[in-house]
Amino acid sequence: MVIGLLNFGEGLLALNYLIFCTVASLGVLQFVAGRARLVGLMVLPAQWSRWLGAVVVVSAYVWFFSVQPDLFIPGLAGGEFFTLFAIGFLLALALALAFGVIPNRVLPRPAFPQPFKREETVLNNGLRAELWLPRGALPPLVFAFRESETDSLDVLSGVLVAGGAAVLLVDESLTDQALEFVEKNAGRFHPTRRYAIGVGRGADRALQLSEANGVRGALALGPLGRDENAQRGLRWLRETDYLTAWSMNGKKKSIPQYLPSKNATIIFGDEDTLLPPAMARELFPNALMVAGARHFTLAAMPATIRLALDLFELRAAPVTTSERVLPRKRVMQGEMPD
Amino acid sequence: MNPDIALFHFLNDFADTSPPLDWLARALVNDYAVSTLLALIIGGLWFSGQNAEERWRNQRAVLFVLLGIALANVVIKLFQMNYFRPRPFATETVKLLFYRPSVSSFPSEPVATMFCFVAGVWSFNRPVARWLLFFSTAFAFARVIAGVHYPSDIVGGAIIGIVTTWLPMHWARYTDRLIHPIIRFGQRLNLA
Repeated sequence: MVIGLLNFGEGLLALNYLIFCTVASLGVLQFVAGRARLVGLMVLPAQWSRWLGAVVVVSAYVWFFSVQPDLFIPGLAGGEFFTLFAIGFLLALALALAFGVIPNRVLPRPAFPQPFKREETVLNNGLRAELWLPRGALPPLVFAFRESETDSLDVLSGVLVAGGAAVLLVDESLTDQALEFVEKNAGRFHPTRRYAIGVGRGADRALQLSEANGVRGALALGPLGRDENAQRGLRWLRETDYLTAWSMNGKKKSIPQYLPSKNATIIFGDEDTLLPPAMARELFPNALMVAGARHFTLAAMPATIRLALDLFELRAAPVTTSERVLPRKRVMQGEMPD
Repeated sequence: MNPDIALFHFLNDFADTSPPLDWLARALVNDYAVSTLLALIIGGLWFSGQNAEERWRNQRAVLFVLLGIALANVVIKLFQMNYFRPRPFATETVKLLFYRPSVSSFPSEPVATMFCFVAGVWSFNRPVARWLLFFSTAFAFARVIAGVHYPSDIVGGAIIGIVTTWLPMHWARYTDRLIHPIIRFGQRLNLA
C-alpha cells in the first residue's frame, strides 16, 4: 500500500537513481570498511579499499549527472528518494558482504606442510574430528580446538605435524568426545607428551583442558574469557567474512568457567577486535601480545608458530618456512613484542 | 524594503553573473547531489568507528537523524496544510536557475531535512557533523541564489530540522526504547 503511494515518474530517472545510489553506496562502504578495517566488507585490502571507495563514489556521481541531464525539471520527491536510496544502500551492502566472502572462501588456500596420514572420525552430532599424523611411532599429541569448524588452525597444525606431533583437530564443542577418543586410542600416542592449543572459544577449551591431568602444556590463542565477548556484532566483520562470522556465532554456546593453570600460555593479537588488548590484559594479566595479529590471523603468525614449537618441545621442521606457511603477506610482519 | 526580500535580492543577484558560479549553484541546488551525498555519509557513519563505543555513538546518531527527518516531515506537512507562502519567482523579479516548485516556499523542506542530518550527528561525531553543516549551508545558500527560496524559508526549515532532531535526543530516555532495540537487532545480524 505504501509503495502504491509513491510516484516514480516516467522514463529512466528512478532506475538511474537506483543504480547511482547502489554504486555510490558500494563506494562509501568500501571507503568506510578500509578506514575501520572491516575485512568482511572489503573487496580489496584496506589500503586500497579507501581509494577504491573514493573513485567509485566520484564515478557514480559523474555517471549519473552525465546520463541524466534533465535534472532541472520536477522529478522524484522525498518518499521516492528515501525508498530508492534505502533499496540501493541495502543492495550495496549485500554486494559488499558477498565480495568480502571471496578472499576466505573462493581464493585458493595457502600451502602448508601436509601430514603423513589424515584420519577422519565422527565424534558427535555429525561433527568430525581430524587426526593428523606424522611419520614415526608414538608421536606427542596436540589437541587443537578450532572455532566452529573453521580452518583457523590448519596452518599451525601443519607446522606441528611437520615438527613431529600428531594433531587432533576438533570443533571446540567436542572436548569431552576428543578426550574419550584419545583414551580409546592411547596406544598410538606418546604416553605423557600431550598438549592443547585453541583459538577463541577453542582457546578457552584448551585452558580448561590444561587443568586436567595428562596435558603438559596449553597454548591459548585469543581466548574469549566470557560469554559476552563471543556475542554477535559488527566487530566480527573486522576479523572475517560475513558467512564465517554468521556460522561461528549462529549457535548459542557458552564459555566454560575456568582458572588458567601455570602450564598454560595465553597470547593475543594486538589488533584483535573480538577481545581488544585492554580487555584481554584485564581478563588475562599474564597474556602475551603478538604485534600485528588479529583474532583469526594469530595462529599463523611466525611468533605464534615459534612459541608453539618451543612450548610443545618440537623440532622446527626443515620443510617449514614461515614464508611458505603464512596465508597472507601482511601477517608475516608479526613478531612478539618484548 | 522587507529585509528578508532585500537579502533575497542581494543573493539572487549573483545568479547569471558568472558561469562558474551558476554551474556551482546548479550543482548544489538540484534535488539529487547534496541530498544523496548526505545520505551516503549517514549510511557510512553506521559502519564507522574504531571501537564498540564509537560505533554505538555513530549508530545512535544515524537513528536520531532518521527520527528527526520523520518528525520534520510531519511538522512541515502540518505547516503546508495551514499556510502557503508563494515562491519568490511568483511575486518578485528573479533570475531563476531551477524549475518552479509548486509547494509552499515556507518552510524549506529540503533544508529542514538536511539540518536533521547536522543536528543528529552534531552531538555524537563533531568532525562528520561539520562536513554535513558545510554541505547543508552551501545547499541552503544555493537555493536562495537559484531563486526558489527566501532566506527566511531557509532559516525556518533549518530551525524545524534542528528542533525535530533535538527533541528525540533530549527525550532520549523514551526514544532510546526504540533506538536501542534497533541497534541490538543490527548486532544480532553482525551489522551493528
